[in-house]
Amino acid sequence: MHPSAPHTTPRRVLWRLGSYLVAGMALLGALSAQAQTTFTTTYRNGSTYNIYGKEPSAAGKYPVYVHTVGTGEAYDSAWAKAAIDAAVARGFVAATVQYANASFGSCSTISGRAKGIFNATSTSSAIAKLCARGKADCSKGIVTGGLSQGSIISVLAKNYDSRVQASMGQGTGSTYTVAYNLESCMANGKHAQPGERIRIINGERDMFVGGTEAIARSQAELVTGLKCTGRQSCFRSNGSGWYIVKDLEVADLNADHCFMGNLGVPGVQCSGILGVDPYYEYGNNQWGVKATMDWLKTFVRP
Amino acid sequence: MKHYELSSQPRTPSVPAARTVPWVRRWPQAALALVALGAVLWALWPAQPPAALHTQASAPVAQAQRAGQAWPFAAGASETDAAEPAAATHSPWDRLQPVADGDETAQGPDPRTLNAGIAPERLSVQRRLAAQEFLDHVVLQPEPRGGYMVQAVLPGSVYARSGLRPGDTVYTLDLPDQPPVEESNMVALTSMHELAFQVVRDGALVRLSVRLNEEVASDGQG
Repeated sequence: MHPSAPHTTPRRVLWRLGSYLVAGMALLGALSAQAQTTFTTTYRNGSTYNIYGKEPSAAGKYPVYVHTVGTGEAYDSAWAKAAIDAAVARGFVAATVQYANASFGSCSTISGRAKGIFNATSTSSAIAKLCARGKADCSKGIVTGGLSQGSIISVLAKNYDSRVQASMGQGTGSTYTVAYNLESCMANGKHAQPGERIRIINGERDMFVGGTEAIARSQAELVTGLKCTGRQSCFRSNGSGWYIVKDLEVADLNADHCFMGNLGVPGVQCSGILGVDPYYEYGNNQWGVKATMDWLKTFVRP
Repeated sequence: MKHYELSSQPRTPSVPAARTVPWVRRWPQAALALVALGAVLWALWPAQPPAALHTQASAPVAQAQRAGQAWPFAAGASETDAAEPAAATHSPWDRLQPVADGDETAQGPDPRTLNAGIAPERLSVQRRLAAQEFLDHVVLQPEPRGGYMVQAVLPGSVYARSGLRPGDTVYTLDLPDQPPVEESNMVALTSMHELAFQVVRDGALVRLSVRLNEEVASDGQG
């Protein structure tokens, strides 16, 4: 027997296990990369704006998910891409859409931006461009989602395209700081999307819509028309409603306006722009992106 | 083996032989000289006086102002204006021709495409995003002496509501009394409820502003 045999055998086993692990990871990566295809395109709303999206690689026609980012947020941010990844994994043609978001605005201004994206009667709108894709079948349904100003656009989307079946909003309300009161377009009944097709998720420390759990709740109630006094969450039988994310539920212990962010400056709203909260992205929480996309999927035909 | 012939007499070129070349055999040199002369004259000759370009640049702006149109060729623009051939003039107004086909032509010129040569940093050192948004809504023409002349303003935009109009000259979007805004901070951006900047109009500095939280009758394009 070779003197080094007892020493090398465990090493070889470990080496083989490591090789299998790496090979498996590579195979998984290759399979997931094959499962979906990235695309970019543009649309016109006065100027030309970009669209970044993903669609399943498998042949077929799929419903469409449209994501709109918040004020000042890059349209292809890590947060937006997390939503796109979750949507495409559930069989959507998913896209995040750039718009004029360097500033906030009144109901009329943000409605103009929403119209530019969702105008069903224009061939140059973002939704027209997306529905024209070979893999997209908008007759199966369109669902929307967004953060902050993007969440307002998400809720207003059905005003301009009746094919929008359900809308999700993060950091959503009608009062944004003391300067902006959007009740005339965001209160339940003021938008074409019925309350029973809306899901709002707000952080308990969301300074935009108030800064306390009670105000975050009342703002969500105003938009969805669903009241549950003192509760952390409130859902109808079809999953519509709202959820207030608590500090202890997020990785950086700061459930602010951008609760999906991670590794931000403690106490500074929306500063974790480079990271995505792992509980939001991979967790099975009701406020996580997976649960949100699963809910949106119930309103479209596969 | 090679044999070399040695001679005491040096070999000189035969001068009379050169003189015997006939003039008809020098036509290639003559043609080259003519072409070179033509090229020099073509390069030195002024194609158009500089003043003429400036006059043509201002004419269509005035025309649009008289017609009450800040955005040429948009929906509602007269067919006569839209059907004008692009090659009729060589003014910067030609840059405002629609750049896309189909339904997109109804939207008029595309500011982002037309302003592609202007970096947002040239308009604002503090707010690059705001400058890019300005370039997405306002078509500019660089001025020879610095600054940018407004060629067209997207109707319904906050810039149209601020009173910006063709013919104004923009040097910067930054105001001296304006505190810097951290554009990566969503709170800071959402807290802003007024947009203000200065332009030069008819030789005078004019401050334009618009309240961002003000509702307007028609929904704009940003």
